[in-house]
Amino acid sequence: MYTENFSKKNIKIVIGKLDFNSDIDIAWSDETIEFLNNIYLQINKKRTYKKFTDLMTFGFWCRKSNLLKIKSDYEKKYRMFGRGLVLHITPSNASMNFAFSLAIGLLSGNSNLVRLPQRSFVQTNLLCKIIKKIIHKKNFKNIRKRVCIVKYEKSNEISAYLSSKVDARIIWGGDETINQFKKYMTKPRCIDLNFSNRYSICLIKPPLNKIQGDIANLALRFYNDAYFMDQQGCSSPQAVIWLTKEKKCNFKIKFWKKVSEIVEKNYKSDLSTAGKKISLISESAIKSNLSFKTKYKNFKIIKINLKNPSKDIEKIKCQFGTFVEIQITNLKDIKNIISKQTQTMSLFGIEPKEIEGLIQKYKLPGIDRIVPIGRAFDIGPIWDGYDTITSLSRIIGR
Amino acid sequence: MINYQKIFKLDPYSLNQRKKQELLLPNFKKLNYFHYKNCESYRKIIDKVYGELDNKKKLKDLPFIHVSLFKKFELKTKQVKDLKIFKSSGTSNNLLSKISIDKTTSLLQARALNKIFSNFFNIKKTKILFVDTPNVLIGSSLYSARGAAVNGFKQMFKNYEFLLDNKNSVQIKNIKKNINSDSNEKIVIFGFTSLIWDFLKKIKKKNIKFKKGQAILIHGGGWKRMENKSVSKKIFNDSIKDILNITDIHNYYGMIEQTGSIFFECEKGYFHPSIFSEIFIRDKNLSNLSQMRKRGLIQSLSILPNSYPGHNILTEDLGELCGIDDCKCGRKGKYFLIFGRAPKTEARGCSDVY
Repeated sequence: MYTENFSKKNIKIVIGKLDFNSDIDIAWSDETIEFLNNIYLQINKKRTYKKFTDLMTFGFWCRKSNLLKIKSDYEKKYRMFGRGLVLHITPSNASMNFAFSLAIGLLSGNSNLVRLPQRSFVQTNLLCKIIKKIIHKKNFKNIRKRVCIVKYEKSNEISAYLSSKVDARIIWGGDETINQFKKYMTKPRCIDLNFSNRYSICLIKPPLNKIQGDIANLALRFYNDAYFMDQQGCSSPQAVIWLTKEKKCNFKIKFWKKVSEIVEKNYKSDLSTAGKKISLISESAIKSNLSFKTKYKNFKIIKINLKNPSKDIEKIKCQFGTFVEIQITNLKDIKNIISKQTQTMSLFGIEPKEIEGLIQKYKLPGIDRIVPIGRAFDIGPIWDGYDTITSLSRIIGR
Repeated sequence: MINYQKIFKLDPYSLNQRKKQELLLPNFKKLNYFHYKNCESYRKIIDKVYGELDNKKKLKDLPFIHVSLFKKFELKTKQVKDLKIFKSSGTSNNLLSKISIDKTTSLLQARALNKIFSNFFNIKKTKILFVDTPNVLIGSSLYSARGAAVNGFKQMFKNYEFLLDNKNSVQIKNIKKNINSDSNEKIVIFGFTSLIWDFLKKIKKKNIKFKKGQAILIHGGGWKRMENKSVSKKIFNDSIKDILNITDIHNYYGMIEQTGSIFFECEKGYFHPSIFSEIFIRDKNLSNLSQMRKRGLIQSLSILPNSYPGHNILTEDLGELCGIDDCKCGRKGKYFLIFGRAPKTEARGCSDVY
């Protein structure tokens, strides 16, 4: 379908060699863990890196102690090895996604061919520099063969070519990207991990008596989940569900007041996002058959009030501080909201067990993650309903 | 519906801001109800996003819709047979605006343009020269922003000529013939800003100079492309003066979503809404208007659209209000400046196109 009529010069090699090496290792190998821990040490060494919270978070995740803890969950009956060469297609507008993807590829024992985001981020470049530096240490001679990081402009030919050479692909970047990559021919045994568009929800059960301090803290954690990436991360909440019987809930009023204070102080908006924001709400108004009312008391926190829970809420696209708000009186009412699109449910005042119970009882098609509010962006090997490490491994049956 | 006859009898820039508001407010309310009743999508937006149409006492409080919606949807107010769909070149995501024009709206557009033009240019409208190719009036090009503009201006003039052939080569002979004609009538030269810029480069060395005061040059529609070439208004105007010997140069601001009620640049360098239109400049909270001389998003109102709900639009363009009723050119009402598209913010998040 796509011919090889591109110049290999258009693929810029950042680290490693483009020789389609598919050296493998056992999953969770000591060398890989040491290598990632070295990344952590390097990141942690420089004070100037502190301002890049995403880089710091990634570094912190790479700590040996953390990795060994996660590894212990994997000490199962079966031995796991890499499947071969993994192609990572990372989104062009997130700086650290590639790093996490690469870490998963290495931990599962694979060789990795990573396409960097098209946009140039300081953090991305810093991390690449670090990797370049430590990869030549002599105790990482296997890792060296298993890492190739490239950059190229959007190109069907190159993407098709690379797709034909690999044993697995991790495709971030949403439905459109996935559908495009599905068009390319791959090896018969090549597997794909697709991270498609998702919808995430926040569920709050106001406590009967709470001191004010808690609300401020909750509001801050909510702000980080929702506003950090303009609500465009797949795990950022787009809907806020209140579980309460109170008609005029004091906790809710105080919560939004606190969020409003934080937003006023910290959130930067501009003319272009303002236009996009209002355009998106209008688009949802036309596309969705739900009737709703939009509240603009504060333009930075637009609320879309919906009377009844419905699966169609995912058709109301919320960005730049727009929230569908629903009140339910019984926890089981959330079953009317959950669809296959539902990814993360961030909680306050409710135990994850209760949600798991509902998923089981009503055989809910969605909810792949249950986290406390404030942890929506915490990434781990279990993501989007996949165990990414196991999925990318060859498991020896006995 | 609106009593257009009454409005067309007025001088389009004679009303002071207070009187203009008095005239426009009830008419825009009528338009709101009309589109609300006859356009389902518009009704959904009003019901869900704005809540209500009543209780609005000021023009600035009436609901506006974002210009990008015309790219995403085909918004029609009436289901009639003679609808023609005009398409603009898109900016966001390269989608096209799809504007449904019926006969009524099309006539209103032509009349409004004529009124506005006549106020700015007190000339006999004998001849217009288009810096464009004859192809622009053929087939689907006729329904593009360029085609619609050329066609709109063509209708006002007795004679017209194209200065480019269908291969985009300059028709030097045509220009020279016009320069050397004995007629004392002013010649109007019209074209898209970027086309005129390309045209200037092509004829630079051909020594084509109009007689002093012989021609007026009108251009619009293309500043964005010009800024990419870093051509400022001054460089543009100076080049026209140097190469063509024309000093009477007017930019206009218009959009395919509101054809007809365009904004001409006056002798003092400001754009003016006529009685067919109004502008507001909004800050990043949208519910607030920007202060005088502060940049914001241009919201543009036009009383002409009947067949589509484009009478009150929030654009993606940057502008600033410079004054009310006191422009030195003598025209009443607001006057403003335009600064191209609002700069785009990079999208964040993990969803993105391959």
